[in-house]
Amino acid sequence: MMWLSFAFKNSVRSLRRYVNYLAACSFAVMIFYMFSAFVLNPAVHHGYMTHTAQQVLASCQFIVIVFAAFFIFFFHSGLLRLRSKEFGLLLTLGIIPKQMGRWIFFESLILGFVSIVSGMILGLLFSKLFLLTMAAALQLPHVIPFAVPPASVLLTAVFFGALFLCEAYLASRRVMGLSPTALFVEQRSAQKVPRYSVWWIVIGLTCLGAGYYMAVSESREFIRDLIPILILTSAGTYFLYSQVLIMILTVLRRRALSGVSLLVVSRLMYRLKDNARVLTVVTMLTAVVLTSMGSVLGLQQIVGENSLRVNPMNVMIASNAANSTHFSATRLRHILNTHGVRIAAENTSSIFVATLRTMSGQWVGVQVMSLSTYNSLRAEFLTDSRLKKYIPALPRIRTAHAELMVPYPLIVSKRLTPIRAELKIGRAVETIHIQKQSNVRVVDESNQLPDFELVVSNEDYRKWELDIPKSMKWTIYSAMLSHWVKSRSAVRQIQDAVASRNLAVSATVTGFKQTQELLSVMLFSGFFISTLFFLTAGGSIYFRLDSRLEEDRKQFRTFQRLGLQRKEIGRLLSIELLLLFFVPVGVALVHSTVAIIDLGHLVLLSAGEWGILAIVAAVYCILMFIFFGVSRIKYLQRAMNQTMG
Amino acid sequence: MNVLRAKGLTKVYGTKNPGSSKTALNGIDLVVRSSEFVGIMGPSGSGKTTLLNLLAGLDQATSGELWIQDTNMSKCTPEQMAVLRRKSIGFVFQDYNLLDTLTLFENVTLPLALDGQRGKKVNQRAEELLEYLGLRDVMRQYPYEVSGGQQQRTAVARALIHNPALILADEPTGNLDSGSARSLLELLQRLNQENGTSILLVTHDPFSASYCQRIVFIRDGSVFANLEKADSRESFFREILDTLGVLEGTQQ
Ligand SMILES: Nc1ncnc2c1ncn2[C@@H]1O[C@H](COP(=O)(O)OP(=O)(O)OP(=O)(O)O)[C@@H](O)[C@H]1O
Ligand SMILES: [Mg+2]
Repeated sequence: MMWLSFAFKNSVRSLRRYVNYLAACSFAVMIFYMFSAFVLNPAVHHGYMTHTAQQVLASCQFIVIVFAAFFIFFFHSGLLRLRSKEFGLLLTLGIIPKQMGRWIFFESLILGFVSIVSGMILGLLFSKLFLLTMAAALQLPHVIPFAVPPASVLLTAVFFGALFLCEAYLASRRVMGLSPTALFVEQRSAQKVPRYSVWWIVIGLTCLGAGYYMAVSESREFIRDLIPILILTSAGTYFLYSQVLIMILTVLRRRALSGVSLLVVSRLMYRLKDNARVLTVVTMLTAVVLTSMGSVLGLQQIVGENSLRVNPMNVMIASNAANSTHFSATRLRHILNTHGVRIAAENTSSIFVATLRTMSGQWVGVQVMSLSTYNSLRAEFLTDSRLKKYIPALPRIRTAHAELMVPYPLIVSKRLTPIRAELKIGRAVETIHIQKQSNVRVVDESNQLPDFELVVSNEDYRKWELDIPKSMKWTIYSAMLSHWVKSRSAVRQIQDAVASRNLAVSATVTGFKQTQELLSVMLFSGFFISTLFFLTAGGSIYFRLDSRLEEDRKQFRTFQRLGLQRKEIGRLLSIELLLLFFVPVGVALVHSTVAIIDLGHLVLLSAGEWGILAIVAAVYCILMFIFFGVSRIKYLQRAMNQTMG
Repeated sequence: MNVLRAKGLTKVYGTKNPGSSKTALNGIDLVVRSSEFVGIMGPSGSGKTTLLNLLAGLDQATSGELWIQDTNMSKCTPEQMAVLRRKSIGFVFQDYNLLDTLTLFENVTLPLALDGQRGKKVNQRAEELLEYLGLRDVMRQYPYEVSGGQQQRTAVARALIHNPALILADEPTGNLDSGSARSLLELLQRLNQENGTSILLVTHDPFSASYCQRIVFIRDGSVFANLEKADSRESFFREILDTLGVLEGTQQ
């Protein structure tokens, strides 16, 4: 059919509008493909990565898809809206809605197809680079061989194919619903003066306040609270833009303003009202980027210290007294020696396991140790200065008294037991006075030993120890190393040597490496997703600007006739765009600050990540500034230089 | 024979929220016979554009009946209306409404293309038409590369390409200088006389209106007066001015 060739010509010539859209879609396809190709790379599949890290990557893929769906729908419907006048004209000239629907359906499909193909080609080109960086980020010992997993290609094609198919269908429904009056509607939609209502302002600020309050107040239901917090802050942000800022600008406008500022204020009111939804999305995306990058980087800073807190003994081997096989310390020293790891201090301590009655009446297991054991362990720990602030010096403990240690993450500030607690040792039940409960871990985390520690007086310990069955007694060998970070291979060998026997082995470096690997994966995928979010954020603002270009052209021409110089119009535009690009970043920064406080409750971060957040925010601002600069230059050129088209 | 017959056409905007509804047309009766050149005049906001949009089936009337040739428009599906538009109606707008992405030539052939017609005959017809309108030299250019007058003549060519029975023109001279306006009006007149195309011209310029054979004056959405051309254009022009005087006089 003849009209198809027209449709084609028309589509091709309006391609300029679609370049950004195509680039964004290809980028999404590329990222999805690279993630998938990495996860499904045979070498990766058979090792190299912990299960959790793989899960993180898989969920990243999921985020990419959901997000791609969001922006493909959003951008394309926006682009179609820009063309509504053209569709109205075609309808006036007698195009049949179904004809137009078919045209847009195929146009969308072709755009989708091009995006998939170019995205995958880019993905192939960059996946070698991706593998190299990933290997570096994970500190893998080997190079990951390049591979093109057929499943990834298939997955990408199927996922995005389905996505674009849905999108094409919706787009065609959209244009089929248009009536020829679309040709005039645009002229008609002369904007109403933006108004605000005190009620909405109150509601908006209440939402924000409630969201922030929920975030900042200490609560252990982090995941449950996350959704309401997100909804409240999003709603609050929306009202902030559509109501609160409008109010501020209205008030500003009432004061006598000089020429350019008056124009800025009045134009900004329309822009804000018009784009409140997009600005809200941009703010939330920015907040997510700042928060996640800030906290992952922050965690990475303290992962060493955190690992030490969880597993203070650099190497620990616990053996049950009922167990006939013992591990010889000489053997262990030998292994460490051959790996060039020096022992800074070591100890052999004995403890027994008992149960303690909690506030709620349940019995939980505790490790009981004498004060002198604790003190000699503490002396051992202090060879690593980072532990100093975490391992407290204990006062004298009298008989029937005890110090209770309940390490994070179970309970931070609540008491586990009443002050007068019942302790069941073997069959006997003793009543002890808990002097203090603190958040400390002395013995490494192990699934064979309880998490809580009860330090009692030496006399009590000696007395109770006599009646305990052998199976409750443990001997714990611990060693502090001069460079535990480098002890990984030594620990591996120790674990291999011990594996067959009935012993609990633990080392600081194991947890450390696992967390570090996880964080690297999170950081790395976070980087890509952040880039995606960032491009969307900047892109949507520019895109919204674009839809007003026609009107601005007219307005700027009027300004010029009124005697405004090009330079002044440029300044007007600079201020306006600067605010549009950076007000969301500012609001997002506040959101992120609150979010990081909230996250702090979950992972017990100490200070230090604020500096990281500042760095992340600075980088984000610089990138956004580049976006702003390019938009500003391009927009002014297009609004001022061309008279038509 | 009648090309167009409207009876009691009414259009109310914003029916969804009664508080801000606005009656733009209030029971318009109108007949356009074949080969007639009819003008519609009225003050700004009187409903001229609204009327034209209803007549072209671009918008739905709130009530009333409308026949184009033998088709009852109120019984048409959007699809049938679209087909009717591309076979029997040509539309000229005040602001040209050409597609920027197509050359003048392509813009002109667009209605035929939408109808699935193609080939040598189509191209020949378009070239003849463009020649006739003095656009042959610029027909490979894009709309933004030519003058407003040339764009408007292209729009006329587009409205004519499928030999419509009726041309609807909404202020076609509104954006043109007097020279271009005059040549466009002469062109419409010639089309009307030579091809027998019916034309309905909306304007508020008495000079443009004087090219018509009959003028329908509307005010506040109703027909206010009918004026038939008796003899020369000059005397018709004066009559139009008089009627407008009455129209505006009574308005205040
Ligand atoms: N889409 C619309 N929604 C609401 N009201 C409308 C709409 N289109 C027109 N009107 C109103 O209907 C009335 C008639 O408008 P119309 O555009 O038909 O006037 P007109 O005679 O063409 O005026 P002009 O000579 O200025 O072009 C006006 O009061 C206008 O405000
Ligand atoms: Mg009008």
